[in-house]
Amino acid sequence: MMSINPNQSESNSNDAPEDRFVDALLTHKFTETTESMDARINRVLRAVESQNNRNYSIRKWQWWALPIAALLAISLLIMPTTSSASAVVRSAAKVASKSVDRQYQVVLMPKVRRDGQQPPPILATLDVRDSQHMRIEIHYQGGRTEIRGRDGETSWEQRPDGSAVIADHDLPWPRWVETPDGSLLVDSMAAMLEDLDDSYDIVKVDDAEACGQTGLLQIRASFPMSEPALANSPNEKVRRNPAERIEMCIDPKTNEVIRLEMFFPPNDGPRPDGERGPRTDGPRLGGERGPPPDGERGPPPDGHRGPPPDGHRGPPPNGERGPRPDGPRPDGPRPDGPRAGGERGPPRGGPLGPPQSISFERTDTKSFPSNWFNAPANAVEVNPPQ
Amino acid sequence: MTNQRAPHQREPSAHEVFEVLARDHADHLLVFLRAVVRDRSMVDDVFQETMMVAWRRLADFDRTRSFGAWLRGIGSRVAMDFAGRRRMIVADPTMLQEIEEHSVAFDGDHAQAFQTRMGTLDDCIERLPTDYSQMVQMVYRAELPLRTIAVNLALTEEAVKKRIQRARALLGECLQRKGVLA
Repeated sequence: MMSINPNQSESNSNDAPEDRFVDALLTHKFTETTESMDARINRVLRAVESQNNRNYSIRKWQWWALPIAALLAISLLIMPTTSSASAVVRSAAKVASKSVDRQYQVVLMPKVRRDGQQPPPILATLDVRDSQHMRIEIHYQGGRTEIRGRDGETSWEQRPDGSAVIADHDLPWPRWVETPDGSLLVDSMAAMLEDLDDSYDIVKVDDAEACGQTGLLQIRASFPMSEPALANSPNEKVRRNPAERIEMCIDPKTNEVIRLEMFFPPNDGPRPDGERGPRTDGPRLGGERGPPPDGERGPPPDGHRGPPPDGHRGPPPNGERGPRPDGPRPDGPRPDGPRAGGERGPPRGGPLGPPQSISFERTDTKSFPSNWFNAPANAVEVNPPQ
Repeated sequence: MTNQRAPHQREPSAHEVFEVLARDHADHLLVFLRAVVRDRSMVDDVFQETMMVAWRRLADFDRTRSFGAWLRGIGSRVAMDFAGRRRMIVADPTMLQEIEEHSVAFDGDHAQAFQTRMGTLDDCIERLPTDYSQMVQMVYRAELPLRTIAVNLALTEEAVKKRIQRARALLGECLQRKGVLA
């Protein structure tokens, strides 16, 4: 059978198997060298290693700061497929407004710590109705559970001890949020999609193993992470989005994103803002807040209110601060459980940047009760410190 | 006499085993894929993906069988899948089967055997009549376009195609005589 092939060697005019095999032998003999074959193998081995890192086995359940990552991906999880991969992103914002109950399992893989240890992955269950109705359930070791949610305009948090608070309404949503093992990007749904559309190369993946051979359509959004490209980019949005690659598996029948995984560059690699390593020069472009080098959040330059100056972090028992009005709180529970009294622990030596990866996987479709996203009945409203 | 234990020898990791196997079989796999796919831009992707699938499924490999054949089986499926997604036709099942038969005959199942068989190919090239040997050098070593070759040799492009086909046929016969081609 004749190959329909624009890149086919000119020498291949005979379609007999023996002729093709000899042609392949000759091509191999005259084009491949020991070095080129080594390079091929090394590419494979690097890919294998990369895959191994992603396939970290999950042994323990430890939790923190998942709502931020969850919020980031909600819009992408409900976007449809279209013939153009870029059009998928453009239409996502429109589709995101549709109200459909969905549930996702979230896995956040922190980056390797400076002492070389790989923190365990962080798991959560994310329930979504739309961008204003979310509920994320976080389970601490020992069976304790924390729930954070947003019901329209109200954000709330139910702590492991059963107490619950409703957020104040005037705190801004920071773009970068410090977490115990790194910083997460936070952005609005529309901005995230706009960044993708404008700045990423979005392609459908032709891959025999695409999405684990599940028959799902795989879409990949890749960002050029080289420092010159970033430094020269006139697009401010390009500089602030840290994910270097986003993989999506989409059910072609339902147009539902079944799996979404975001991969972030390593700590010592080029940063999206064109710099290397943790940012030490203060706020980011556009006035958004970046984690300062000492690991503590300082006052932002844009006049937005930062964390309380007394070093408290998270909603303390006295109810000084609650969840954000525009989503769950960014600084969630520590991997080793919440701090007693909500006090800040010793400095960790600076932020580590975003995690290695965050994945969202759709579970069986279910409808949630109408009050599923409401704050618990015992929730009390709190005001931020003045 | 002291009871000295032999130093404990660590079991090679799956990654190490895979690296050895991949290096041993990379050349042969690439030849096979080139025969199946022939699209130079696609061969690289199919090769990489074949190796990745092999890694993921290494535990499924039956060690009593040929790793090279197992790898080529994966390669066939990956190639078909790539071609299907690009709406290309690379080889029908009969073609695949016959290419596999040639591969089996050529298969020494380790890198050294592959190099030995490529040495046999060198011998066969040396035995080609000058016109054909020259054609092999121009097409494969220099990678000259057929049109350029035709102009240089004052031939038509069709004549050049036929001559290079004939050269390959002669090489095939030579390799068969030497028992390294089916």
